[in-house]
Amino acid sequence: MNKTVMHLLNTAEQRYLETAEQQQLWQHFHAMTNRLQVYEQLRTQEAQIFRPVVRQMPNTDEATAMAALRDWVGALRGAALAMVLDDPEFFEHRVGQWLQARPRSPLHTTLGQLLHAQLKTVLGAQGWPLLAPYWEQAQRCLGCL
Amino acid sequence: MNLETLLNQPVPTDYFAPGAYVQGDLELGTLSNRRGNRLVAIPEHLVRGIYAGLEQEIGKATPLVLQRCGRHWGQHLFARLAEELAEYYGKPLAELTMQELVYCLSRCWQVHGWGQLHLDWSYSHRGLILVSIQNSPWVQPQSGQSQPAAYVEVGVLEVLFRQLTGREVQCVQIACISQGQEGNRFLIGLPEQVQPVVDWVQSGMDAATILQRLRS
Repeated sequence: MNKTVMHLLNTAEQRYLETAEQQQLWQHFHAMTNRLQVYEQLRTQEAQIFRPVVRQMPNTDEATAMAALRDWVGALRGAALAMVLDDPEFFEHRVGQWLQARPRSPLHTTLGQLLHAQLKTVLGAQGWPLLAPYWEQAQRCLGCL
Repeated sequence: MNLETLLNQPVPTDYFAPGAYVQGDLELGTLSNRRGNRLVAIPEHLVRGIYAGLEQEIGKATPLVLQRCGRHWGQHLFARLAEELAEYYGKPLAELTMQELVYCLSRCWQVHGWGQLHLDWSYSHRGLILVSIQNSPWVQPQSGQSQPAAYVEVGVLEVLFRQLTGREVQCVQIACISQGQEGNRFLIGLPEQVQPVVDWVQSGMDAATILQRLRS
């Protein structure tokens, strides 16, 4: 869970939250609504996001291509959920360390760049900034930053 | 496999991810892993109490009994890993890549609180794997043992690697936190490769000298 929210909830164990603290919670929940909309977009448009990327992918053997694709699918799903929770540690613990231990091919970098461009286009100026920090985390874990 | 098939599947990542792996049922007062197998948090003082009790009751046989306990644990650990990882990753344990397997093992150690496990293959030319465990809960640091004393770990590693490699490997401990070392270190290999190391350890040789000899 997001650290700020966790801290607020722990505070509320002992006393009522003060107005400013409640305000912080409201902000978090409002922001979460927006993040959930981006998540929904990623979930429902997963195939539309990946199809053009696969079409532009350089020719390579199927096993290498599937391994790289699988890693990026897992990375994007993890980044999407971490974005909803607004919790970089969630990404790090659930997916990040696993991705860092995966064998990498040059195709990982190419796919990362193609996906980056595609995500920016699909999510647009409103949605992309919400995913961007978590996407960067994913890129770092797969050695693309 | 094509893209559509891939996208319609769950993409497994980290089986032992903390938070997802350990779950608790407060009402029942139980902890379990993500597959529902029960986990138990053992207090450090209970481990020490068991060691002290064994020492009092069976004296010199304690190391053997502890090693036997470790072997028993190793057998069950392997069976559990094989079943759980196969189910989660959708393929038998034997089909996991070496990287995936090593990652899972070290995460398994981490998430259960058994310390940080690290495998070093740089002694494979001597037919040996070097295993290091930092922050082991099985031995009391600086307790002044004359010989390495992580008997439970020797047992569990020996059986685990027997099952993983399908060979009758042996495990010998070469460094121990009970003797003031910063971690426990073990060498695993076939008996003919391990025996000289056993002799060196018994003669009181330290880990650095042993590893130096193996490198030369």
